[in-house]
Amino acid sequence: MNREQISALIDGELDEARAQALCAQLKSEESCECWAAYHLIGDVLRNDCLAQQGFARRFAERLAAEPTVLAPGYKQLAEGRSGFGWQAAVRARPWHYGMAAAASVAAVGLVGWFGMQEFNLGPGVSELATARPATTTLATAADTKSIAQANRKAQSLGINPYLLVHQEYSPTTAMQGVRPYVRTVADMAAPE
Amino acid sequence: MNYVGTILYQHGTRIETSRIVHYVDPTGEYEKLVNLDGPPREVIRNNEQVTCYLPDSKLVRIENRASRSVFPSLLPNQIATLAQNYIMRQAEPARVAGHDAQAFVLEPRDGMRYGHVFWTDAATGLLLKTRMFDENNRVVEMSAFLEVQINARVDRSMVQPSYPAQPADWLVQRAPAGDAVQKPTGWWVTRLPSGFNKIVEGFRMLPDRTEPVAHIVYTDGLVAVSVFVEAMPGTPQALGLSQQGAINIYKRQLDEFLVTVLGETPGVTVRQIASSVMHR
Repeated sequence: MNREQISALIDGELDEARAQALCAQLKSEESCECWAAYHLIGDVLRNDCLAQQGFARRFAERLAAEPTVLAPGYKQLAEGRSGFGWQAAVRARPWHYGMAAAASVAAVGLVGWFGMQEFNLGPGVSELATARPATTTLATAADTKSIAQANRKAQSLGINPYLLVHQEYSPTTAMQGVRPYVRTVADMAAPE
Repeated sequence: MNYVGTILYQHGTRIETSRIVHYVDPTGEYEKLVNLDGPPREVIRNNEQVTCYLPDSKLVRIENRASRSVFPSLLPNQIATLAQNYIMRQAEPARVAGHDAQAFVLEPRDGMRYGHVFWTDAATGLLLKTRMFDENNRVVEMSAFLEVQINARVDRSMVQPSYPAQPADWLVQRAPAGDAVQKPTGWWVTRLPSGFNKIVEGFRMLPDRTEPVAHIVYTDGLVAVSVFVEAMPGTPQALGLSQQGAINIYKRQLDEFLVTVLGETPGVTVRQIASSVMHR
């Protein structure tokens, strides 16, 4: 299963035959495991516990239990009873829509994985914010002396400015919230 | 989901323990991390804002991680990228900190990256333990809950800092809030290890620099490597390979420039990247 197929599945763009083929492919044990693993790893990395409880197990069970649900096609349904609405299609093909939902969850997982836990795109997603100079201030007043002082202090503590910047971009680090700071705090405390 | 627990972090022969409190309410996600060894230090996360309190040095460091939103531009091809670089499988269930856990293994397909194992609570999905291992299966870095109360009774006060937001006589250091404008830096890596793709390129300020620094980030879908290039600072620089936690850092002089490459990868990866940085 490649990314185009996943995207298509998410967007509900696959026609009947292709959706069925994809689901058949998913039924093979390896693909299923792989798909579930992708999903779970994504969720694990974004430290989200809501969506995926027992997902792999339920996924596998459902895949095994509902092979025939794929049979009644949306097209036949639509042709036979025009104007029936998408709800009927969902009822007739819960698995297909279940799959689409699962795919969406997986995609959300990936979004989260890469640092969007709140899905708050906000301004400046496509374009990064304008560079601003570093500002270091005393709580009461900012002056150049305090900036230099703070920087020296940070340096002497072994706070690596490169590392702190890098941390923002590292997928595994970003997704573990505050936990990777154990690393930073530990290193700051290093006696050497 | 709220939880309270004690985390053990191990790197090489060093072991550190920290207390973590995680709290979620409709206004967002809050975390408090307090180290239990050495001088007390505290990290507070308030959604995207991370504040480090170092009372022994009377220093507060504030950083805003909103810039992480650059990542969605990668989607959805990360799945494919990840599968190209790692063999993913689910391992035998295990028990971690008294909880039944599922285990996921990402085994690297080459020597340019570490392997990763993630253990999650079978009931809630909470990440209980992580381990990074090298090609000889040696543990590079590990963190694990020693004990954790999942769905613990937590209130907002438990994730508040133990210090005033900006204590009167402390120094407050703000990490540069914005990021570099994304644009070509004129620097490129001629021998990029396979599976790494560029996700960010631009100039940005670092807290102790007067001039913007070129910064390029590559990722293999799981870990990232940063390349920094700047004019050679006046102060003496320790060149070559060094480590901070599981992060390998390689510094090299290139004409009148200083190249610094770092990432949570083996040393060979950062060295190869550093040694092949060229100016267009």
